[in-house]
Amino acid sequence: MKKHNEHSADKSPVDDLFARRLRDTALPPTEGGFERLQARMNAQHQKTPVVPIWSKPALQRYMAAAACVLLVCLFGWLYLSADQPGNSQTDGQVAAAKTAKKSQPESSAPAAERAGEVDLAKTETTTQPETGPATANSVEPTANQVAGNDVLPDAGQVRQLQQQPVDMPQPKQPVEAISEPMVAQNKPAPTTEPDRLETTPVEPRQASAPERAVASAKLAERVLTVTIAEPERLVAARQVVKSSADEGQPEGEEILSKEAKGGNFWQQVRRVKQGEIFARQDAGTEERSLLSRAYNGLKHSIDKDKPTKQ
Amino acid sequence: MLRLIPFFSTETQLIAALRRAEGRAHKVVYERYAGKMLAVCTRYCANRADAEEVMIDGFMRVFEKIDQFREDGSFEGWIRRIMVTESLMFLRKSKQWRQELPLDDVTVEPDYEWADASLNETDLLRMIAQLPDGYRTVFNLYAIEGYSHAEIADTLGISEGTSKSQLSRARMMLQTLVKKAELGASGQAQIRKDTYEKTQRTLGR
Repeated sequence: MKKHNEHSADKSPVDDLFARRLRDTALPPTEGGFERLQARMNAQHQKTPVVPIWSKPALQRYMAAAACVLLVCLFGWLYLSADQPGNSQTDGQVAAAKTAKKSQPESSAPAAERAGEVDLAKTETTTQPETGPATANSVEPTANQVAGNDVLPDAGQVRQLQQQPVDMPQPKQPVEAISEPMVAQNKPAPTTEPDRLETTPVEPRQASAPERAVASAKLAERVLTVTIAEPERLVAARQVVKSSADEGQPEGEEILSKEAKGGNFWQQVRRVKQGEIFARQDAGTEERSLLSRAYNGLKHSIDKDKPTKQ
Repeated sequence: MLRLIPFFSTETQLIAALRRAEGRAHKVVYERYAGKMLAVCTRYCANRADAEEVMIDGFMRVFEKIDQFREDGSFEGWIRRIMVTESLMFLRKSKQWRQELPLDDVTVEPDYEWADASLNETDLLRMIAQLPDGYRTVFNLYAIEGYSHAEIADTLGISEGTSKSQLSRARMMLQTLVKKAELGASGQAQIRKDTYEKTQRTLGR
């Protein structure tokens, strides 16, 4: 700051008096002044706590902006890395893994069938000496009977088969494997493939690696097809029923076809109301249709026998 | 008698110790400059207690802003400027700047030689303390600190004309006060002289 007093010539005598006497004067401070100064400085240091850098409001804006930029960069990098052609292999691998995952349930079912076949073959080999081919408790003897001896089982035998428990390690799968072809072939055509049934089961533990591969391929090809021919009485009874239905009750068939379109549950309820305990044409499982067919055959045979007795 | 041991032989060492925030350096600075700075603050604040508070605040500011001190100037001058600034801030917070008193236009010229010889610093400080805040501040800044009217106007936020008028009024008041002191001193001397003559007469009888 420029001092005007050093250069000004017209200085007032009052100013000169006071400036000369008071410029360098000193007054004795009170005692304890420095202690008060120290106490005030300590209080000021305690008043200003250390604030972390992330809690300062001035920096929070920049931190928020940096976080936004970071997020945008992250998503952009992920998007671009997904679109890059260099990652096609990984995409292909991922797609292959996905298809493999999707195909696992599909392939698991045949695998289970194969396992069931293997188990079935094992049980064939193990149970045959014990029970013999004529026992009705196991399914395989019936299959052998159909395949080898062309012995058609009666409806009573079939009912017995379904009612009695099967003492097999996996009873459901063989029964399903047998029952599926029965539905597929309603006509009396007892055609089986003896070659496939004659194949002996391969023990995977004893076989070497290439043999395992061949055996697995053979196992994959094996299909157990069992058809049960309807008894002659049943066929005759069905023809009689058809002829009677064509002559007398065409409207009832239409009603039944309409009901078939509706829910099975309500159809059964209506039939129970009508007094028919057993649903003859339930579109349920194959076992029911088989039973219904057997029931119809027996019913018609009884009806036939009634007029002859009378 | 206790004597302050000079821990820091040079001012540079003292400033370096202040920058390291050594408590010993704080004490040395306080004891070295507290008297002068208290006189400065007293000239502006006109109250001893307020002046001491302002001085302590000024020393705190000195210790906080020691990193801003450039060693090309005087350290005492830098401290004095800080004290002046603190005093002005104190006055700005509490007082009115443009307080004016009606004064007689009669200019009385005192005997400055007598005043210089007879009045001590305490008497002069008491005269300054009798001035209104605006007068006192402008007179201190212009006459003692050496500021120009432009700088005073910029510092105080007033016009240069206001600064000049307040300076002239401050001068007139101080001249009157010095004259009163002179008259008072001469009157007391006359009273003393009369008292001496009366005693001599009574003793002579």
